Amino acid sequence: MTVRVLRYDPENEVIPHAIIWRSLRYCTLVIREGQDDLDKYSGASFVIGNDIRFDLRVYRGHIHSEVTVTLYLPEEVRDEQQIAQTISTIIREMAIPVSAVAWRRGLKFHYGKLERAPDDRLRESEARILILKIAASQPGRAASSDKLRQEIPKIFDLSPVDKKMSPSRKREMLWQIVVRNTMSSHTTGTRTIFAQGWARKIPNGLKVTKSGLDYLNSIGFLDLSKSDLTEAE
Amino acid sequence: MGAVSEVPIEPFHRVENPTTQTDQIAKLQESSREIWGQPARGSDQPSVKAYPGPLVSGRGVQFTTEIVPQPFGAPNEARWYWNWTPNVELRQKDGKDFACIGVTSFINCQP
Repeated sequence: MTVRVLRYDPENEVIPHAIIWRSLRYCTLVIREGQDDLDKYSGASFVIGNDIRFDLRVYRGHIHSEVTVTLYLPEEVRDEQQIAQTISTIIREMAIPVSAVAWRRGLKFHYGKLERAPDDRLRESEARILILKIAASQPGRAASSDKLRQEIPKIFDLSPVDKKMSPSRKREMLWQIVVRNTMSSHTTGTRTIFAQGWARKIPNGLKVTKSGLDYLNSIGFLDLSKSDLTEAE
Repeated sequence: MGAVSEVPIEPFHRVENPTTQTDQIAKLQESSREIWGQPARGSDQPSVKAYPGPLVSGRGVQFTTEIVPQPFGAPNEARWYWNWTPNVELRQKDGKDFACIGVTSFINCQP
């Protein structure tokens, strides 16, 4: 299934049903500013197929607003099982790891309190998509390894585990090792961004291919028309 | 709609904005001891919306209420819907419907 970006705000009430411990900028580049009765927000609207409409929003007064995004569904979606299935579909189709969901409908909560899942950290499977997103955001859809290392902490909230020093490489933190592995050692694996044709290596970095842009379009990160989906060689 | 928190004893707050939380609205809230809220665009269901917790910094208002928010809030948002949330009242002004909750304490930080 494809996650399509919608250009307009929803014409109905939307209800918060999950909070994801990822920034809005991590989820999509197609961000617009809005305001409703609560406050000003940054957000984006999406549809999966014809049925699943949802919004991602960050209101400036949300707790942990720099590193979380709240998932909203139309108010007519009220069945708890349907809500649970819809949330699962959305995070899967947006390539967001399950560990990133800090709260979802059905879990008990206390107002004003939100904690990150203790096992949530940067893993290689997520790092693959993350570096693809970062490279796609750069001029020429390409990024050096240094640029990736510089940008990742701005977009991904590194956990205490991510920031631990590597036992094998004393000068590097664990997340840096993850990125290094993603970039360098697994080029023959079937699920790497290189093996899937989403990126190709360039000296000391990577460049996103048309196929990679197609993929990022399909998870709602970009909203490029076909004419924009050209690979700048 | 799933498990929810107990009735919060902590305050809620709203942040100053140029349309729905102006200085003038804050004064009305303070004098009437009521918070009003409009429907979302395209909806006919007015609701009061607020952030949980105290107003830590910046301009806005902080309040407490005895009215339990609607269960489908979230850790970062509280809502009180007219017609759905018990004890929320309907107010009308200039032909528009508003949800209304009474407050038990109110601090105006946008005088």
